[in-house]
Amino acid sequence: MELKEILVEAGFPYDEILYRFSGNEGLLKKYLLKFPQDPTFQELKHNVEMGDYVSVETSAHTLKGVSANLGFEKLSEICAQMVMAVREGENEKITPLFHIAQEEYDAVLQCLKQID
Amino acid sequence: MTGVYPRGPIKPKLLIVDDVELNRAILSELFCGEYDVLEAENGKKAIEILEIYADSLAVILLDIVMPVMDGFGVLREMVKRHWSGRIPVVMITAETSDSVMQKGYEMGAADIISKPFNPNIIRQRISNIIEQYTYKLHLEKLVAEQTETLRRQSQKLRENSAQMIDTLSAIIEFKNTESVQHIANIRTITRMLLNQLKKRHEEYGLTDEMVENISEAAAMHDIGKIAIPDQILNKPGKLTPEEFEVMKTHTVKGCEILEKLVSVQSLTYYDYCYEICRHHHERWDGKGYPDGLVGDETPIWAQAVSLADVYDALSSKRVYKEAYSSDTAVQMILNGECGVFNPVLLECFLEIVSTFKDGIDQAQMEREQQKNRPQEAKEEHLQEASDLKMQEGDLSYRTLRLLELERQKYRVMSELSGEILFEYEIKTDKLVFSEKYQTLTGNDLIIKNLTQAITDPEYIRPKDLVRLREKISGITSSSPACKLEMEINLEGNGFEWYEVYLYPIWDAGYDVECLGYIGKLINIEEQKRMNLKLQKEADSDPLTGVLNRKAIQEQISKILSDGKTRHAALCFIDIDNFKSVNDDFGHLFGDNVLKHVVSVLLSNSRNTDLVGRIGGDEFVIFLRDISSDEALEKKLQSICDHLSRNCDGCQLSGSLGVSRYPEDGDDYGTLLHKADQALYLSKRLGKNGYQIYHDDCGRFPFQTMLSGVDEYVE
Repeated sequence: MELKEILVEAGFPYDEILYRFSGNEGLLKKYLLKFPQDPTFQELKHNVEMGDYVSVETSAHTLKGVSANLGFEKLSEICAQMVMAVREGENEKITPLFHIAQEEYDAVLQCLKQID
Repeated sequence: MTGVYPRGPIKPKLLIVDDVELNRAILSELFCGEYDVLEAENGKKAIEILEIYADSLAVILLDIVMPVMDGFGVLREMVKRHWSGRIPVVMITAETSDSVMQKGYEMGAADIISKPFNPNIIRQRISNIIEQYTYKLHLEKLVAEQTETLRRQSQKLRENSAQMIDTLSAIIEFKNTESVQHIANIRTITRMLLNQLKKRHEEYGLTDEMVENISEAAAMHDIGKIAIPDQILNKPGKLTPEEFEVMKTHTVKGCEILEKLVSVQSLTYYDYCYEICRHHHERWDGKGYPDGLVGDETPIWAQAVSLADVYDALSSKRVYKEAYSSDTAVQMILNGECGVFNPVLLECFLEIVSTFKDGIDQAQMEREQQKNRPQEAKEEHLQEASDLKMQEGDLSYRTLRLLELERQKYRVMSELSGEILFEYEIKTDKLVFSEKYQTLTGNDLIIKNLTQAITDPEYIRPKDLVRLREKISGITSSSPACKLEMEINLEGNGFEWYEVYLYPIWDAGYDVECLGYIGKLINIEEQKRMNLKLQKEADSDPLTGVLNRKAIQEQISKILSDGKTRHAALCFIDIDNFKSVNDDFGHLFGDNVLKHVVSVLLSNSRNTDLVGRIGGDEFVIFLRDISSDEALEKKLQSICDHLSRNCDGCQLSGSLGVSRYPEDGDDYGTLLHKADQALYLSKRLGKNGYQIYHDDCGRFPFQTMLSGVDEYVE
């Protein structure tokens, strides 16, 4: 299947993402395929489990940026909320938020698997 | 988007600093077309790159959150290393809180863009920023250059004005021998006083520059003394009230002089000069002159000079007194014997008066040194200037030399040629001859106001002047040469023929303008005379000296075509029975007869008439402007009578045939033909008479009287 189809089917705004990559689909594809290996999510998970909220803020922030760049809007949004929560001192929100993030993350990976 | 930098092999460098590889990749992809992209994953690496590429980096895209050294760390380092002003930094960050943005700008970021960004917008903003910085740097460079230029100019001005002051001081020296030292002392004392005042009393607002300027200006304070008569200025005794009044005017006179010196007015400290000149005799209590100013109404610099002036006058020798000791002088001042002074100023005065002598000596030494040094500096400067001139104006210097060479060559050539060469310049209306002219005529080489001079008929005939002017006005750049022959009374011994060559000189500017002429005069009087002689010979009949056939035809035809003659008569004269005269009396006798005939004809004709011999015994007289028939017949009769005589047994007579112009024709050929016909009739009617053409002449069978086979030109 075409990359465009794959992304669109999964609900990602293909045109917008491609625009951000200066129209270079090859480059986009490269980084999409790289995403599953990106350790940031694992780090976030680890930090949440450890209760290391300072580090949670950092990882969430980073993941927010990466997902936003690749067009994973929902995932990015959740991360943003996590960052906000830590800054506001609302640590109790972290774990529930993380669960939603996990779901989103899995959905993304599912989508990406289709790319060859 | 238009790049600020020229496209081509050299792309400007752009540095991306972000720890996330994806971010770097996206940005890199965005800019790699226009820029040579460099990447750094943290602040430390960024600095390392800056160390190498600082001079060629056009912009830095900087993330904030990074390990090792974050974005702010980079900014801090850039300020420290003075890269901040030259390389714009654009922060690209997800942290867009106000405090972060504020901090970014405070630390020197040129712009802050938030993530996620719009690719096109970021491109545009980067481009704009680079453009701004380029322009900024360019302007800074311009300002620096301008400042340098201004500095050099003001330096020059200062030098010039220093020279001016030295000159004026020297002038004063001539008038009043004590003044030179006095001026130097005033300078020094004023400076010292003002420096003290500046230290003690800031309220007077004195700066180092002002003190410097005022001290220089102080040198002019007595310049008005030039206008004071010697007997008052150098009077050894006390001045009378009237004399004192005159002396007082040196203040105002000095101002008058300054006002007249325009170049002095360009000095930055002209105002100081003026005020000091005018007010250095005012006093604190208003009892001074010329304006009676009170207290600080007098500018503080004038006050300082006035105090310095008094102290120096007291402690130096003058024409009217000996020198007092410094202590005495101080005492006298404090006692108010020389007027009332500003107490503040007096305070400063007292504090430093003991150092005056040292200050004066010091200044003296410096001046000595300065005298020698500026010479060297000046020489160096001059050398520099001429070197520079050589380089930049190398062309003009060379050109001048070449020009000089050409002039020399020209001078030599003109001497060698022995001709009279001349140069005329329109602008100055001046004519310059070569030396030959002077040798020839003994006159001055230069004629000024030429346009006036040539109208004098003593030297050039009016009609020749007209011709000359016509010829000159006919000069164009395509046909520049002008030659004509004319008579000139060059040597003063009468008119002689010259060949005049004129060649215009053009100004090679935008408007091709004629600057003048060069040319030569060649005396052709001899040639001309010879020519005329030969011409005359060619036109003459060898035996009798009158015009020959060809010449008379030419000349009559010319007169007729001129159109100036209204009436004329052409007489064709034939000697009766000449053939038999020759046969009976011999050719020699015949020749004499012909000569006799000619003398008769000549005596019967005026200077304006033409007489010619057109055949063996045939003659023509062309009588001009003979209008009435009576006059004509009278003349014809006279000719016949004179022709008829007896020569040694030879009876002579002549027959005349006459045609009139314009009645009988308007060209030579026709007139001659008709005269011929009339002559034939005259012969037929018995000879020794004349016949004026009338219509009946043509009726007779006609045989031409002309000997020779030439046909008429009909």
